[in-house]
Amino acid sequence: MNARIDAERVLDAFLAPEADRLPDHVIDAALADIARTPQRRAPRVPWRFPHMPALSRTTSVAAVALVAVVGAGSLIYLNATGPSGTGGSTIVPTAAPSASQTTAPTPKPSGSGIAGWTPYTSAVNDFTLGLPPDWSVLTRATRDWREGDVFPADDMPYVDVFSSPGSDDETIGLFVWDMPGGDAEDLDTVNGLKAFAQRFCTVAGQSSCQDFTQRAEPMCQNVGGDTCRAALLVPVEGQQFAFLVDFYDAMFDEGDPVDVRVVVVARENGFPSAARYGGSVELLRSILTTMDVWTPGQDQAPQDWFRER
Amino acid sequence: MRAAERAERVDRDLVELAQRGDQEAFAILARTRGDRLFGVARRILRDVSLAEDAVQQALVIAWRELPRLRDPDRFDAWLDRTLVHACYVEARRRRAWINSIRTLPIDGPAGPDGLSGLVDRDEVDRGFRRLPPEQRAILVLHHYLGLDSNEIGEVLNIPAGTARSRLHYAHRAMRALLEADARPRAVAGGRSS
Repeated sequence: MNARIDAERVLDAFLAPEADRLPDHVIDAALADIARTPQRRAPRVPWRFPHMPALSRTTSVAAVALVAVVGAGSLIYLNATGPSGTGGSTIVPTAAPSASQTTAPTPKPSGSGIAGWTPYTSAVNDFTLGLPPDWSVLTRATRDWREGDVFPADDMPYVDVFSSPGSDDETIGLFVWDMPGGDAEDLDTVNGLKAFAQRFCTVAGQSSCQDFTQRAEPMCQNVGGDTCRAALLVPVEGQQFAFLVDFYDAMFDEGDPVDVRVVVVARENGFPSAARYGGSVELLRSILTTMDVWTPGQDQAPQDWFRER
Repeated sequence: MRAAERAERVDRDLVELAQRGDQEAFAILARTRGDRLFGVARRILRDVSLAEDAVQQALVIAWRELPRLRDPDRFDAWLDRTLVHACYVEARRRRAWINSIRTLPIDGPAGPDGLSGLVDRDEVDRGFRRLPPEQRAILVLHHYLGLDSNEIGEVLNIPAGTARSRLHYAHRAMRALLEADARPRAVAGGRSS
């Protein structure tokens, strides 16, 4: 054998085309599945970073960031409607995400007792998560976030808002929405998500952005068989953030910018009502496990997704 | 209109029908592409059963997500991407099986083929299996489907330059594995002589 192997020539021969015949039963089985599978038709409002001037882009991100900051930080909205008031509604069980049913992620969930949680699926933001059964849905998103949205506003049609039970000063708010991640960041990496989170904070005008991602922790998102794609947990003083990429959306929404899913638990870690969940950080971790996002196991670190934009 | 153009037009019509929920149209698309999908999956996964599962899964996902495809003319690249991701999932989900899989026909006793005189087929197979699924996929797209960097980029949704560099690294990894396999044999041969 030559000292220097011609790998290309070897592979040409090794992978050479030949008669491949897909057995009929495979197609038949697929078509039988398809007959039972509805197509996903959630219309998405087109929005592009690249077509926006820099100032406009920043302003838009700031507006979205405010959804989290104002909604999560002050709970003004939450308190106005009140978890025990008329604004709340019972969580309606929906199908759990298929990915979590078909794969067994290697990381161990840090949260516990989530088995009896109630799944909720956002028709607009296209996520499924689980919540304690006594939590309520305050508002369901009715459309995607889009350029020109104003916040704060009386309603936030692009955010799914949830609340724990209790009086106004006891409740914990949870806010979840998708926002375009832009095209400048390497969002499939922890560092890319950190950069996104940092910008998210800065443009939102938070006072302590210097340290916003200081306590950021890598998380593992289970996507199909990939058990550790990058996600990020960002605990800060008054609220707990998580940022994760909607990989399925990125994979199948041809030409769309990658969406980042923002999940916010709107209380400080030591908030009394959060104690039964182990604190608001642990609460967020538990919620994230229902979204197939896990604390990495030992010797496990998020791997870059084999895709760049 | 040339035959190729007519075929493309028919395909486009079928894709558009399928996007609107026409299962028969999708069935035609699936049947006409099944063998090619299977060929790709079989080579990436090196296992017939896993490849069948990947194709089946890819077709179901493609059906479900088809309304999101904006340009019906890009259906094939989009379908290939769906298949490649289904292969990643299968490869990782059943990694434990990979070492005990049944042998592919193309892995059988080597008859006269393009590999004769180049390298031992078992060594190539062993080396190829040790590559991560992503590198196997890019090599299959290039060496089996004959796609260039631009086309690979379209399938994997990555820039052409990135596809080129990944292809380069995949070749380099494969070469390293083959050379590592060859080294002990050469040493052993040297000792016996």
